[in-house]
Amino acid sequence: MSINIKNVSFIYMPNTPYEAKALDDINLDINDGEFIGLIGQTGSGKSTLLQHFNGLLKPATGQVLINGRNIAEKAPDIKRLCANVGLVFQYPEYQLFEETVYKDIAFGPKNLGYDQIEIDRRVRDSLELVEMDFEEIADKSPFELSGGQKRRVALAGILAMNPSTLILDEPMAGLDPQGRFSTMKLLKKMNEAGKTIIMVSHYMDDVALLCNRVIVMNEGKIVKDDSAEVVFSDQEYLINMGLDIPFAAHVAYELNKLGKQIQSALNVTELSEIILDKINSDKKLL
Amino acid sequence: MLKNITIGQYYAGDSLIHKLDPRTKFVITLAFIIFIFFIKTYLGYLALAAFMAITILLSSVPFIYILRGLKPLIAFILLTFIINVFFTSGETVVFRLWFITITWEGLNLAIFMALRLVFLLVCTSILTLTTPPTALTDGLESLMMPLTKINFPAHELAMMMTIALRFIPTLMDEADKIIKAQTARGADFTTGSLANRAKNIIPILIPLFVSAFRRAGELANAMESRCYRGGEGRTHLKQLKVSSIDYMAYGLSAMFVVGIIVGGF
Repeated sequence: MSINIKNVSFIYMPNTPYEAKALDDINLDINDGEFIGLIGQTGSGKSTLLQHFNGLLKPATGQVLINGRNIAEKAPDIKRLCANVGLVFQYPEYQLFEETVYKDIAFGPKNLGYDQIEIDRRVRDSLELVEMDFEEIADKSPFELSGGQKRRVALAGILAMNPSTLILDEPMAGLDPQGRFSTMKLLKKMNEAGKTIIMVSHYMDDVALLCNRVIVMNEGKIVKDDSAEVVFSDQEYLINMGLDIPFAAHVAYELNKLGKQIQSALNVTELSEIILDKINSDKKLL
Repeated sequence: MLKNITIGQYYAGDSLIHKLDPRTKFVITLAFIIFIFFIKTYLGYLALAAFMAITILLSSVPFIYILRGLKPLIAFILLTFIINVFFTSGETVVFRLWFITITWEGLNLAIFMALRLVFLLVCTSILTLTTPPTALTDGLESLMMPLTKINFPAHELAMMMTIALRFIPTLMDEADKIIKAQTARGADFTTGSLANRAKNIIPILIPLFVSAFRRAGELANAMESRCYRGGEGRTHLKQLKVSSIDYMAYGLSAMFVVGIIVGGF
């Protein structure tokens, strides 16, 4: 399933003194199976862009196409098409509302009109995906779970709709290292199973580790769109924009500033090897 | 959709009306709200309209903002008008068709009621447009102070109002977010029967209540850790002061009200 964004602009509160242009002529093609990291400062338009992918926001100008169909059209199959794009908002645990975990996860598939057997299968499958025990958790109230568990249940609620594209706004925000690690593992697994993933994150290490394509936004425009290696190699640019860079890239950047010519890397393991090689080759020269 | 609701919307400015003490504005508004029901002739309403127009001009708030405040209640005003037109009995029949009778008295009463509602809204709009919500609650607290002698919780009430006003935009944003999140899960709030639509609001209301309680708890903690312990001995950052323009406002309003009543309008 391909998503194409063509010349999309969006304005908040048009024709009022509070008018604000959030998106400015965005062009973007998302291909099957990609894992995209969307980064940018607060207010750069990331969240606004995410809400265009499944028609929650309608562009002021331009088009959003899913499989070549304009989702602004008023056709009955458009809703189904949009349901193929699962959107996980920031802090999704705040949208839980049902009496039991089971019912809450069933909410999405039920809205899509599946029968009871299919719903049951999907609830079980998605709970398994987020590594939660069905017998133990299904009949509990979502409100008596811990923060990390709530987040996973909320995520399961979206996964139960079996979207082919998964969009996540800060999925790791506020999680402890273990919760963060298991979320990352889940996302990687989903991507390997063929799902397209678009993720907004402020943790550049996570972006560097997971994403094969990184898009940088600034003031409502896409300013960079390339592989993670290329985007994070221009460290000065990202730092000047007020963005973080992966830890390993940062170390390499500082070493370079000290006159040591170190090739940049995206993770610590890779960097350690580069530094070791460098030390060894320097020794040989002596 | 939620962005269109304006409750207690303040229009920032530096006019004479803005500078009035909030207590002055509150007392005068209250007096006018009562006074509106004592006006008996169209000429009286014309004079009131002129007085309001001058006040609005002085306040430098664009007329369009006042009109916008009337918009949500147009349906209510029309309904009152229609009910009064059709269901007031009287002697002079203007129009009769089958069981519908419109009398001169009914028409008169309907126009009066509509005018009263409009002026009521204009009065209160001027107050809320020219007074920041915090100043308004400060003023109210100060006005209710004498009542603390009979154990009336003036400070607590004012604090409750401040917090409620403060959280309206926050809860609106929250509701907007939850609506979007549930829409993304396939919820539909715009089609189906009325009963169905009412049922579909549950996925919005429950998270909204949960988050309101959570926010309340957090706010209570934040206030307590800054040593909030009620109104006793609490001083204000901005001390309310009655100045010469307040006396002038009282004087002019009193003259106007007395003039209209004595003049028999």
